[in-house]
Amino acid sequence: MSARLANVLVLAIFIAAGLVYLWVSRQIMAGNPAAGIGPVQFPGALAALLVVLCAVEMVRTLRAAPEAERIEIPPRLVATVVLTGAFFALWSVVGRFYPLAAGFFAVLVLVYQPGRPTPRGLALAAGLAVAFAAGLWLVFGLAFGVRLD
Amino acid sequence: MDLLAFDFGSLFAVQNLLAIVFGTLVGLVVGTLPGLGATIAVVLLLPLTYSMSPLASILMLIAAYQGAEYGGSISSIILGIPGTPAAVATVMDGNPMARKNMAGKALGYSLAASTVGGIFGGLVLLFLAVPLARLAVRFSDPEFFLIGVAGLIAVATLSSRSATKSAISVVLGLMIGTIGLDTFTGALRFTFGRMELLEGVGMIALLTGMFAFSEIFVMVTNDLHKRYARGTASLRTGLSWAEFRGILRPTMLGSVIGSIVGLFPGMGAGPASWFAYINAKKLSRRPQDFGHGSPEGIAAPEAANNATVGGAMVPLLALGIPGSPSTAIILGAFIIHGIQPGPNLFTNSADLAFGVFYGFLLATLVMYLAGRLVTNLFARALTISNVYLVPIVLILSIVGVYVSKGLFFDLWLALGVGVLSYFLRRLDYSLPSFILAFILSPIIEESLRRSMLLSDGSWSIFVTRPYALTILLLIAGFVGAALFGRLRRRPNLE
Repeated sequence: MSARLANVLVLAIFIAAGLVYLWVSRQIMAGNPAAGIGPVQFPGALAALLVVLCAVEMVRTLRAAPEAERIEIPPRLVATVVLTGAFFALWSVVGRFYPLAAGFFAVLVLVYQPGRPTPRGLALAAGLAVAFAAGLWLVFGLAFGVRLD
Repeated sequence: MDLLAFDFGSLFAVQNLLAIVFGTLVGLVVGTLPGLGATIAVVLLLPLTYSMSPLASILMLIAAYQGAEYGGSISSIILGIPGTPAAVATVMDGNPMARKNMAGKALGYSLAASTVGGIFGGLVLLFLAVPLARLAVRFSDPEFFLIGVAGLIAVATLSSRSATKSAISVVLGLMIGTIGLDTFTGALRFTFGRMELLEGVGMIALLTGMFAFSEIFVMVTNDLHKRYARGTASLRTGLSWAEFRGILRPTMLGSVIGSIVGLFPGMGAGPASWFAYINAKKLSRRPQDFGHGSPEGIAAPEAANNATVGGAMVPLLALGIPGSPSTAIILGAFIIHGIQPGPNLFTNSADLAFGVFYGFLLATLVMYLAGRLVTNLFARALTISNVYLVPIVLILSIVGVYVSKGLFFDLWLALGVGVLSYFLRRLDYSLPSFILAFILSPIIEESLRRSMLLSDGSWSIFVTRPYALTILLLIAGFVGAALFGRLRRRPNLE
């Protein structure tokens, strides 16, 4: 995707978000609207300002010469986000942070390694993952008494 | 508020000293690693502060902030890759000197200048925060509203290439800051029925997503297998008195520039180090040496980036307004312990305030000692591949977010914010503007609403009070100067 298209898309999303925010702010039950500025006016003004600024920037972007820069979504970024989400979901269901963190660490290292994992690579990833999780437990669990399960 | 009315013995409690040493070491190692700066060092340490005393917590974070600013120069000098944005100017002369087989000497200049800059910034904090807080005690809601607006204008005009995108970032930050329970009326705003949003969007989740997660995503999309260094030769960072005297002038210049720049929200150490570098070159007796390994070219930016730390702490402690993302996280640590920085800090928690002042100076000295003793060791952090570094930083950031409130909701929020921030960074939106606006949002809205209540809805309250009028005139002057500068630049661009 070109940087210009990405810019326009993001600005369109912001304008839509501004309009939704404005619409939701109108539903807020104002306790005593007569007493100065209520809870609705400030958000309303912000929403209007956002829409105006985004519209100005969009016009400027569309009028500008196309940029050579491209905005890509690399597969490694997608993999990192998906794996992080999966880690959160598992952790929230199963608990047991330290073993899961070790697994998450090992999987990330393997995903980031080039080519197919070798037995040595697997052993190294597993060993580092266990050592890292143990270090986390020593610092957070034992020394500082932080509960992560 | 006597500067010497402080129990210095309490500062030297074992917990405080350990916190300073630990914070410094973490700051040094994180600052050394390219891409990871002071903000991430402070984020990573935040979860540990929950079980520490308030003073030890704040000192640990300040020590990490200071340590990371010096640590950034290690990779700049050895590899020519800046560890932090603030260390970019250091590359100009640090790396050429290292290539002349004088890496240890270059690090010595950097360490000495960073220490002097840090101490200068600490003294600025010590002598400026108290008078500013004394003045701020006389302020009321109209003044706080205008100070908040001034901070937003400063951050919007100074922190991004596109003024409109900075302004959009500011408005988005203000909008996110309105989420939660309205303290005036008890109305729920934009919570969509989620109890987790009752107290607003979690600041730690937002900060971690915005700065740590998005940085991790940038690292993931770059060359992950890059190992910044294969090995680091032994480095001696000592300087002779004559060598130190040779960099004293640019160091003092950098210290003054850094402290002043640090006072302004959103500018931070990056611009400060460039201003210092450019001015040191202008005032140097040997400007021709700049870019070829000049010690002055290392000293000025390094002094400046460490001096910004003290400068940025002034508005945080005196007004409760953070001057940089790192100080915003330090504000979070204050709030975790139920303490609100601002003018009343010096009366309600005077011991803590003065402990922070003197602890800041102590942390700078510890940074110097750590730099002398363990720079070699920390330079070896550059041999760690990003394949291992990314999972370590990611999991530590996750722990930081979870520990802040114990909510999985915050983890998802941080992840979403991280992805969004990754793209916003690519499109040149200003994340510092966003985060400072988010923090200032409740201050601005509440002071505005209270001001309007006080004045029966009349806007004249902002021009009839002497302090408010003075701040308003300062804002008008700043905006006028910015517009004038823009108009003057325009013909040159065309």
